[in-house]
Amino acid sequence: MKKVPLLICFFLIPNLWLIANNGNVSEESRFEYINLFIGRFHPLFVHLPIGLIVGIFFIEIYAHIKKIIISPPLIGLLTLLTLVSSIISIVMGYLLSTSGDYDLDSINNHMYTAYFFLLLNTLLLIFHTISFKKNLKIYRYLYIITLFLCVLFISITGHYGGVLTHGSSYLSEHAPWNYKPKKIITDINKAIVFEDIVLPIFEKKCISCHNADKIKGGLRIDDYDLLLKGGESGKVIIKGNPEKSELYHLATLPSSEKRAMPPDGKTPLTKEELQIIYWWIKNGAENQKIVQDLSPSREVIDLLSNYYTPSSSGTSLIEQIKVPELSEEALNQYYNTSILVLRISKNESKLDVQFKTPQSVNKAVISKLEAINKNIVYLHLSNSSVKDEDLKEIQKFENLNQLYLQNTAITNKSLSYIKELKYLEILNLYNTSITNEGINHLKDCKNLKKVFLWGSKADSSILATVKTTNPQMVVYFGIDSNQVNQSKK
Amino acid sequence: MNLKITDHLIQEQLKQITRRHFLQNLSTGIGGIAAASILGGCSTFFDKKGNPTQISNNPMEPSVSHFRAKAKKIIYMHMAGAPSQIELFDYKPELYKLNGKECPPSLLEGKKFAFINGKPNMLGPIASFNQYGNSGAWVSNHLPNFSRAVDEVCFIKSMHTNEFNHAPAQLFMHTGSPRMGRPAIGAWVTYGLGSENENLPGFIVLASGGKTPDAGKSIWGSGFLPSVYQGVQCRSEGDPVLYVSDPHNQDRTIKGDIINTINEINKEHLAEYNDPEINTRIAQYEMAYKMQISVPEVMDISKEPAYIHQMYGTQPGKSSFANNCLLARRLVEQGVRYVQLFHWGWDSHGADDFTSLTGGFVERCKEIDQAMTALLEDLKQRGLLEETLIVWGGEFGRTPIREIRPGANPKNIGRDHNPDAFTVWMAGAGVKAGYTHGETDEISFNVIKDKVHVHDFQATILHLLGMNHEQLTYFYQGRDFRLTDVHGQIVKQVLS
Repeated sequence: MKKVPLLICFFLIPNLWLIANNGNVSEESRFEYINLFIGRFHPLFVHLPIGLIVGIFFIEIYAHIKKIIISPPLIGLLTLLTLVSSIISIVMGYLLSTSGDYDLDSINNHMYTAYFFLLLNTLLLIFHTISFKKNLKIYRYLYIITLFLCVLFISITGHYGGVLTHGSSYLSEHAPWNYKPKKIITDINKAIVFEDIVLPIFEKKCISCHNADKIKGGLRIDDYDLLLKGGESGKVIIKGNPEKSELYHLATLPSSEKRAMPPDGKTPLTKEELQIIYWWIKNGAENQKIVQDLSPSREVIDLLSNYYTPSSSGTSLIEQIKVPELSEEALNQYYNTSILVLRISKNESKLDVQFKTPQSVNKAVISKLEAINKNIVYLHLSNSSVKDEDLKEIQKFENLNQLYLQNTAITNKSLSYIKELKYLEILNLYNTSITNEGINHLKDCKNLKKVFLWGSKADSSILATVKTTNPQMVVYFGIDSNQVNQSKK
Repeated sequence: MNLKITDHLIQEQLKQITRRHFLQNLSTGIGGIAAASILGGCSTFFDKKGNPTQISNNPMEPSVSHFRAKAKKIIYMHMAGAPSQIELFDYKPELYKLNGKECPPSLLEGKKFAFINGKPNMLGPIASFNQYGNSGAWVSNHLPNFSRAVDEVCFIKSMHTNEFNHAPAQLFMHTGSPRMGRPAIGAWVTYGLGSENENLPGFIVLASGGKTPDAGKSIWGSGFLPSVYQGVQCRSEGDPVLYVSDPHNQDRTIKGDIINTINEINKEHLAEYNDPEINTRIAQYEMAYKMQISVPEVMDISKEPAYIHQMYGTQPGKSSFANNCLLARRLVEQGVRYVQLFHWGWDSHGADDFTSLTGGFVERCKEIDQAMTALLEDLKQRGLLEETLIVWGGEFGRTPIREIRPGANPKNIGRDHNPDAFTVWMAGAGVKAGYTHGETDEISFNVIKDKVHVHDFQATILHLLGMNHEQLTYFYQGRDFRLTDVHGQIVKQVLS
């Protein structure tokens, strides 16, 4: 019991430090500088009490299950270490909070739960010591309850700390219930410059320190108005003048420079990202304007579209096609047959099908594909002996994306079988007997992008109809022999 | 020498056991499997992951690509001798003004030239330029037809290479190494992806007469890959493949029987020695037999309609680049994986009229301009450009400095080799059409923006064909080899 006053002293030390420090905060002193240096060890040191208390918790559970007794002095030592390390962490945490980079509400949550944890921790040590010395059951129970509470409160404190460093949405951002399909830029000219192009760059590189919860340098970048308002040292964006804009200037400094942003150790902005921001500020750092409004040069368009290539490639129709899973056995049955069945890439269940002897393709051959017909996305029937009646089953190949029928004897009738194929993008009908009427069958294939009709009986008079039924379809009629003759004369 | 026939056969068989086989067997006996891996290259087949596989009967069996391929086939047009980028695509207005001025010594510092020495002069572009198409690409007056097609094309103006002489530079471009012994890119592609047409070789080479490229046939060789993957050169004049037609009065079925019997014996041999070269022999015999029918048919361009001939500028029976362009289209139409065209005579040093930028160079441009444009348009209209990649380029570029050959007629104007800057273009499946990548300085001497090294270019080609250049490897002499050695960055900007 002699130690109790000592423990109380421990509990008081941080408060004394805080009181002592309060008088100095207003001065821009060397003292404050050192405070911050010590304070920044907080995120590192704070894991020590967490680890210790959770460790004690699991040791007790283990002892309980195995019905063994862990040496009480050992537990006592661990509890004392937890207490000492918590006190140090709290002092450091307080020093860090004096930097003023953080949102006050969030800091208070973190701080008060931490204090409460400290109190519980002290009680834990007291209860443990008494139950051990006096061997009283009641203290043992109190000890156990307090231990539970300790673990609970260290978790809450830890969570609030996480909110401070990573922002409040960090944990739930990628939770399944928060899933938002990413906005996909289909036409770069129509993209909103700030919201679609510039803001995502900031989100990736800046917002983790300049948001509603963590406001480094008093600057928030997550909101257009607040960004324009600037931070403690004034405006960071001067419309039309990127060179004078602090935001651009700091982002271009080499990372060895003290003021460089993002600070050393975080991923700097890429050359392309800087060029985009430069272009945005140069053109007035507008909020609502779309790319077209700023009449971008060719280089800018290239820059922007290059920057967005990764997301645009994900938009292709073939990505959206969902096919059933496919086993290796299902594929093996085609091994060493006249049908060549290949996955369109490793680990994908979408298939590309060709025929090794195209001159002997008929209904029977095509019916062999029945087991995998929903997996086939590319079907090569070019130069084959396929006829209209062989293609009757093709409507069941509902996930076809590219269909090659060039140099075959098919007629319009075949097109009536494929009109249901909603994922069809490329249809090659070069050198077939398709006529204008046949093309009418395609009006429901809304995704059809390219149709090749050179050498068929269709002609450009259908273009007017196609324009209304399938506006995005491009029809290739080939090279006109008369045109070639004329150009040579 | 009175050996009985069986003794004789045993003797013959023993002769077949080479030192390699002996060592190989020895290694399994003594050193075990570990030692056998040292002799790996000649022991077993390895799949694309490097795991040993059972020997498939068909080394050309098509296989799944690493990731989704944009292009399934490729036509690669190589202008042997290295065409001048300054007279074709890389428009440099400043250089006109510098024409005839003495070359500042700072430009020559640290540079190695094949021929230029002393105090050379600058040489302005011997061409006029205009912008064409929606993309506004610059094309010189030497390629009037091609200027129509620029919106289909992606130019890379920032190519550079390590080699400044033709043979090593061509080897570097095609095999990724300036020395002989590595497989050509076409061999890597057919090794990686196989061939979809069983009746035609997967890798076909067509040269448009003149002389063969300086690096010789090793730029379409298979190197250490099984030789079934080497390029098959077809002649565009006369018989496409020599001795492919049946001898007079001999029935084709007899030949079929002969080949079947030979292959039966070869298969026994294969089971015994497990040497991939025996497999190659079997595959090539079968291929040769099938090619007797397929090759004369596909190589006969005389049945093409007249307007197609007019479009390409072809003359059936002649050996020309135009004929080869039309053949290339016919070959990819039949599912040939890799078609390699070589044109020749681009080494414009100005030593004589043939190599002068005012003489032979203009002729070369005429030879390719109409034909390659026709090929692009033809493929596009047929829908073949959807899965075919077209590549055009030389092995390096040419200097903005004039080269004077001792004793040459001063009216012949030429440039020396420049490994530090040259232009290539790509078109077709997966390529960003109407785009220009990279930039050279104002005299097209060095690249100043978005450098693309030969290995980067090769990595990009493999990427377009669905292969990861770092995973396409072959185990040989104790280690994995790949086309791009330990280099290569995919040029993402040129991908659509």
